[in-house]
Amino acid sequence: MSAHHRDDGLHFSSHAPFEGSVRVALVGPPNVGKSALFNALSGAYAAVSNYPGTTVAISTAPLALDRRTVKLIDTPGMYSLFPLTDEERVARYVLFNDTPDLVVHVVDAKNLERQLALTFMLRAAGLRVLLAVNMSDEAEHLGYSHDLDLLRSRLGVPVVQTAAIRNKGIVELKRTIEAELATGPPADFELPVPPEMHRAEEALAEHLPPAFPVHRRLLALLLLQDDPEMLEAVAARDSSESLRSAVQDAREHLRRPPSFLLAASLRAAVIDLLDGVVTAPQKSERGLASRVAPLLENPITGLPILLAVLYLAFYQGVGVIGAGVLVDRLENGLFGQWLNPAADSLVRGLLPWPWLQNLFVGDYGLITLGLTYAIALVLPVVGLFFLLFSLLEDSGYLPRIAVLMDRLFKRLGLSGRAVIPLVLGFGCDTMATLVTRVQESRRERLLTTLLLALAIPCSAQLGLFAGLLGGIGGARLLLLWAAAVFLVFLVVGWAAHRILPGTPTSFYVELPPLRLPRTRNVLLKTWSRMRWYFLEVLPLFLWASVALWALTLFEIGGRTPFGWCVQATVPFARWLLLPDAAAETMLFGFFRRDYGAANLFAGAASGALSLTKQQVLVAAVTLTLFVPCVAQFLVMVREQSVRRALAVSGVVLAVAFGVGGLIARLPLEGLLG
Amino acid sequence: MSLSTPLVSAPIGVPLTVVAIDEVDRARLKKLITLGLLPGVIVRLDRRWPCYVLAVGASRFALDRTLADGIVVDSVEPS
Repeated sequence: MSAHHRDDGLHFSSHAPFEGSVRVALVGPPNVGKSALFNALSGAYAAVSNYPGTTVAISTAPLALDRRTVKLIDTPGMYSLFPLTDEERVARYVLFNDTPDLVVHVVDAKNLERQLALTFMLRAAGLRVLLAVNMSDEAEHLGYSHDLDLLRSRLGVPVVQTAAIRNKGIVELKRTIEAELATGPPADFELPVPPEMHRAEEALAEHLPPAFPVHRRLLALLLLQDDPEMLEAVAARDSSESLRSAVQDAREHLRRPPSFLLAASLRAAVIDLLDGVVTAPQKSERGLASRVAPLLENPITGLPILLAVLYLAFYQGVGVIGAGVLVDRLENGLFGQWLNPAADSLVRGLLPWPWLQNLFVGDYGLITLGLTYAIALVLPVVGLFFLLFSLLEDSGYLPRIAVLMDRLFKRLGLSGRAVIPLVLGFGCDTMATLVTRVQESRRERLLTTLLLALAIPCSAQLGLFAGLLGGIGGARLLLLWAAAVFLVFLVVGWAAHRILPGTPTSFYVELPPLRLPRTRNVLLKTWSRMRWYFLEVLPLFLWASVALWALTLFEIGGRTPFGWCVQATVPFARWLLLPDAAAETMLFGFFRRDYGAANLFAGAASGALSLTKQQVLVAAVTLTLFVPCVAQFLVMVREQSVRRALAVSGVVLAVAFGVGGLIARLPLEGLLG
Repeated sequence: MSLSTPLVSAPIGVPLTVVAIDEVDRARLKKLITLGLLPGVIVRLDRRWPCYVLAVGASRFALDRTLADGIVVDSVEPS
């Protein structure tokens, strides 16, 4: 993949959102316990916000030190200052544009050799750096030992040993942060680079604009590597022609790629530095976790385990317990018997006008539809899903699924990296559409967005379909439905990959050791995802409630506007060989995917709508594939563009009704029994 | 006496030294550097299918064929 230009709004400017207070940033690669350290330092009061112009979330929290309180910023995982993913781009941007007063570089005590190069780079960027050697408990357990005094004196920055997950070393880290903030500006740091590179860098430095927020020599290094953002940022202040040719000239004197030269000399420097600092264990210990891991990565054992995990987590957990037991208790019990009747009589007592009563109670009321949906349907289903997802995430299992799926996904133009958004989609497609940003290329993000919108049912749908299809037609109907949707997933993914120009990106993923998740961390993650869901997605459903109310408020030509919309949908129902009454269901599907389904099945179950099993299958498949819900559509617009969101919706509609119409005409009577 | 081999045909479960990485494909080079797969680094190949799984120090990585193709290794003589 070539370095592609991105227009995600990361332009260097005077706009630094975290300015105005003393800022301490946590920086480090993924899987070093950075978030755990953030939580241990700050307590649970993190504010998660999207970084301006991007969709990458940045957590900030007040950090109380002895004498003052400063602002703690958690940055997305970064391996180096040469970003490969959007998350790394944003992490770097926070460093360059917000220039934190202190950077706490968090590293894994077991991986100093590979991770210390970034400490050098951060210092070369002119930042004041403190090294937190984290996960020291795990390292110790495995037999590593460190001479931190030696490391401190050679590195020239403060070094603190921590085990964030066990709250160890936090007090000392805070003390060191406070002491370090009181010192003067950091001394200039000479990056160890080979002489030829040094010459190229100096030649280039002459062409760089003064007063640029990035340290000059580091900037020269970045430009030598054709860093697109840096080129653009510098070109905005200088004539880009002379700069580009200067970069070209400087590079011609190098025998090998600058990224290689730099990495090799940094590695040599790190090895020198660590000589005598780290004592590694002679033999890696073979614990239970390291014996189980290969079983998960080998398809012969891994695929059956994956199926079992999916069955237990999604079908039994989210479906049976969440959508079945919990929803039933809340919807029929708490809301159906207590809250809604109480709200109903209260509203009807207070408001004399039926049309206004209907805004709050009644078929499309804010309380009886909107709020009931939020608390009774969404809370248990989505909450349980997020809990299970956080468990899978913290156990280190997700990267193993990526390993198993990479080859299949390559055929769909994706890579193993798509596993995270696609699995998350089974919880909430809207959130998953946001999370497509973990993928490398725009092409992959678009393909994943399409598959999420089309063939990944969210937990609310899954819960309903699993329960209702099973109830009406048994396991056979359920399997046929799942097979149809999975086939569409494969065929459409494959076709989209063929049609869209471009190629899949190469795939790599770190396989962290399997761990038992910590309750506190799992709960914090679950809570932050649910909070996001309630703040970002639910208001849209409340608005949908209001829109439905408004559309049924008055009549034009003998029908309400909603009635006319239903009328317009009737031909689609007929195309699917469904009764006209099913049209209303289709329309509801747009506002809330699962509600449409619920409506349909309620009708079928009560006999108000008489459907054959084949018709039930057709309706279920079409509604699963159907247009994304309002919230998902809006996120698609934000993440992609209006044009692409409309194109994706067009494809989804065509495929949903195409496949639905096809299934309606297949001779399935025998199969369905 | 040992001969350099592409990682993809190296033996499984033994220590290997990275002797070269492909420098022509810049995007691939960047990823290999990110993973710390530089000449001189000792690795162990744990599996080839469905992905190449490499142990590097205390970490393990999965790579696809495209990335694995960019690595040449040498077997480490038992000392």
